[in-house]
Amino acid sequence: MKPCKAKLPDGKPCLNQADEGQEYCPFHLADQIRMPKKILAIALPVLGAVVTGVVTVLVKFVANSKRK
Amino acid sequence: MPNKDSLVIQPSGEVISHTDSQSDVIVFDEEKRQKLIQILRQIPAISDVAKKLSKGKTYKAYISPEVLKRIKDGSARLAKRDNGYFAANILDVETGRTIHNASLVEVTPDLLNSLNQLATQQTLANIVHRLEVIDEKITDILQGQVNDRLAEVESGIHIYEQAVVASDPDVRRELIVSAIQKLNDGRNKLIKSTDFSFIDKLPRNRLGMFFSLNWDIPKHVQSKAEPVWKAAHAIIKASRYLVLAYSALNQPDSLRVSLEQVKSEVKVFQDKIGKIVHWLPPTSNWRESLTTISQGVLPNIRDLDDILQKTIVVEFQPKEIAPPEGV
Repeated sequence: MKPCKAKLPDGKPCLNQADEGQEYCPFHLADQIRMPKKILAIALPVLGAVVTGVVTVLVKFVANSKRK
Repeated sequence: MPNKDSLVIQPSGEVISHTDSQSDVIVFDEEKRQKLIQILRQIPAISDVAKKLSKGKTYKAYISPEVLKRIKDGSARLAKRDNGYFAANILDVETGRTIHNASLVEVTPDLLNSLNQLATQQTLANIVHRLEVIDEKITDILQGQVNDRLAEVESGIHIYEQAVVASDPDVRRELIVSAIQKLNDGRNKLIKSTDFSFIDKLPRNRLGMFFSLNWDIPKHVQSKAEPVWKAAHAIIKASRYLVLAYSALNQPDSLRVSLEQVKSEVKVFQDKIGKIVHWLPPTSNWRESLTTISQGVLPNIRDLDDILQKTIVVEFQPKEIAPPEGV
């Protein structure tokens, strides 16, 4: 166990201890993950919708060209 | 300290020094100090010393013949305090070191037992005070929340409170025994039933946290930690009243056994709470109380073992010890 590397908003060091092999305490590690996780959580459905749309358009296009 | 003399007395019955503050001492609160003074009044040597002090004379101490010989030939002398009174220790004239402590030879084993008993009670009172402080820290933050975990412990507390006001000593004793049973049961159930398993399931690295199904892990920990925290609160409350109850029955050894029985389980409890602390925001108002819990929920049993090694400090005014004039 070693002290967490993170700094608090007032500039003081974090009082928590980091786990073996980590530089930040569990709270700050989770805090650092929160934003990328949020972005991924928003991006994934958007990406899914875009991919679904593209696939739908492609399928329709192929189907139309076959009919012709 | 004008007009106030202090003696430092060891349970072995020796006056060893005076007034110096020591870290390993038992200092009595007012109630126990009064009880102690009652005991001191029964010790003729102290009573005599107090009588002389009130007349502004010197201490009357019981000194061994060899030391008396040295005092007579001038190689040793009685220590003198700042206020001009002689103290009960004898100094080497050349080196200035204490060579002998005047013994209270008239202290009977019965009185020493009472003194030890009082020291035990004071130690227990100190333990209760420490638990009160921890309890307050938690109560302040848990204010307004219903602690459902307290139910069984609270019934033990109620029985103890009924016992305290009972006038019949037999009824009182019976109620205290029943309170002890309830408190022990309640505390054991809490220790056994509290679920910490969530702590070991928490991800400990970035990747694990990233793919964890919990959106906000610290928030999840906080919600899971609440029942654990409430259980710790109830355990502290139960321990506090157990100390009081065993103290009322004057059974410190039973208290010691009761504490030892749950020691290892409570240690696990404390360690897990210590882990929870690292999941909390450093600014969380839970932090201090959880850290305090992780440092020790149960009173330190060693406090009871160390009583005989500790020095008892009693400050008293001569008039409190000396019988009224003419007696």
